[in-house]
Amino acid sequence: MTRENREKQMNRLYRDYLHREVRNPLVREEKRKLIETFFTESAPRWGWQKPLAFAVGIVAVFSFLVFFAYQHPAWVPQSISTHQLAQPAPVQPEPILEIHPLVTEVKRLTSRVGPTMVYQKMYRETPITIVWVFANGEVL
Amino acid sequence: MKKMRRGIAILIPVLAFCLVLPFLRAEVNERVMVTVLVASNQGTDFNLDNDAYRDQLIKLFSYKSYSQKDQVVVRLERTKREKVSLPGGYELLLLLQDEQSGKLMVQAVIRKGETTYLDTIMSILKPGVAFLGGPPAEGGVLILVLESGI
Repeated sequence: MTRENREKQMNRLYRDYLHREVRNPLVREEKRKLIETFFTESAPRWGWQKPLAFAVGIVAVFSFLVFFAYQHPAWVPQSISTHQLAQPAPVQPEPILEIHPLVTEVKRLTSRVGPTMVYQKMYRETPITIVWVFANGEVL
Repeated sequence: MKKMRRGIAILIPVLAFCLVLPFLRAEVNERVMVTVLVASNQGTDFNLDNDAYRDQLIKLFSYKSYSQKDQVVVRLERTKREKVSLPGGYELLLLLQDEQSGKLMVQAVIRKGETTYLDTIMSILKPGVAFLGGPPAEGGVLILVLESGI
């Protein structure tokens, strides 16, 4: 047997040995465990949290819209309240004269009986706003 | 699975808080004092609970006689109109429209039966005063003093 043939035979034997080893169930099981232990890809970080985060976002937006709606309620005609006004303990009225400087901003003013007017008069350097309706020709 | 349970346990209170938050804001209410006066040129009487009003009324209006008819404190809410009965069959309806830091937006309506004498939306500082007037009553005119921030 020539040297070349011997080398080929040795290679074949070595390959067969490796083949048998690799197919060995025990070796395969160990290999699987090794891969699982050291090479398994970690679960995606935002797997189940994604839909939850989405749900929280939706609720937050909805809450903001409801909050905003409460901040600016539309005028809706309602039935007159029959609630009896509570009579608090006798309140000694604070003199208007001592109230802090005031500015009243009138957003809307209408009347069915006559012309209306908003004006301010200074009282001791404090502007006081008066909303007036000239009903039935009455004058100020 | 454990993580998911923990996440849900955190999420439920957060959702509950988000849903309750708007209603916490809706419970705002404000107190407004309404002083009801009738001013006229008949006589020179001043019938006021507080004489400090006298100088101011003389400066602001040109009537000779002022008579205080009523004074009530109204607690205003966003969703409920409050009614104050006035002399001469009038009534005052008040509705809190908005409340921001230092300001109060109120709708005030003076009406008699189906007739609206005055319908206004105004923002008043807290504390602040606004006068509403003009409707004829008891031989004079009605003047309402709205004071906020009491």
